[in-house]
Amino acid sequence: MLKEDAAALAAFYTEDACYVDPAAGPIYGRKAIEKFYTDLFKKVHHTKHASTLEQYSPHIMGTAGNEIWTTGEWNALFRVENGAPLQAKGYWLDLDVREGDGWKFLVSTFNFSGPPVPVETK
Amino acid sequence: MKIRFLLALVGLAISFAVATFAQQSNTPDPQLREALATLLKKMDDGFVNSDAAALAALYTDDAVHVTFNRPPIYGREAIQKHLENDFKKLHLHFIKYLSELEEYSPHVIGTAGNELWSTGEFDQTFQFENGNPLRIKGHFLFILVRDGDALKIKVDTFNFSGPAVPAETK
Repeated sequence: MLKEDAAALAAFYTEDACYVDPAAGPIYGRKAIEKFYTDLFKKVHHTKHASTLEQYSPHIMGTAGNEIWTTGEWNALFRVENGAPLQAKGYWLDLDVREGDGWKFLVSTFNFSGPPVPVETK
Repeated sequence: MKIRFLLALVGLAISFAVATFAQQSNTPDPQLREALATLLKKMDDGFVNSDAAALAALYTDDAVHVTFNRPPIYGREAIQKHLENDFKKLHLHFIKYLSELEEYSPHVIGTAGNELWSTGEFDQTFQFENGNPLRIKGHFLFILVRDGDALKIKVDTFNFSGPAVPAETK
């Protein structure tokens, strides 16, 4: 997010992943997700993006151990175009599948805990 | 407290609304889709009837509800208490609650076929005690498990597409 690297972010998703954006709704497929991030980074510029994994995550699904889900809290500082710095936080929910030695997002979404607010500059 | 959050969601999400869709090829199993539609109808009715027990019955015993303004809620019993609090202490009343399933849902997870995920949209009109009716829309994400011929929610979350706005009263 900080490097505005849409390709690197898209690489976290499976080829057939679905990202459920709060405003845009479901976006299907890694290529479309990469385009979404590319377009997003033309307008939104992050100066901080931190994620804290929920203490019990990841949660293994089924018996084969090839699928997990995770949740946690995120917080971010960002600007929309040339606007004032804003901060926001919320929670995410991901369903991940094993690919090789790693995990990739099969479906992912997040929410906002409240409205973005101006960053305190004291 | 909740009203403040619901009212205050501002246009950042709207600025994110650059819809880029690719073709999706999942064809849902008709019986599973029917089971999911039944679950959604029970959910819509449960909210309009302020029936926390009926809503909690849609979850597995060990379900997790990931909400937007507090840490996750663990277990059916705790989810029921959370809903009772919304209905009784916050006097949250849903006048309308409509959920619409995404056309490709439910999506089977893995090969065993016992777990699924689903998304879709909701459209709510609600009010707090004697407040004015407000309308808000958003999306949900469920992870589900089979329970006989029915489905139960194992994990769920939702987000808002924008701030709550005054509901039209025509």
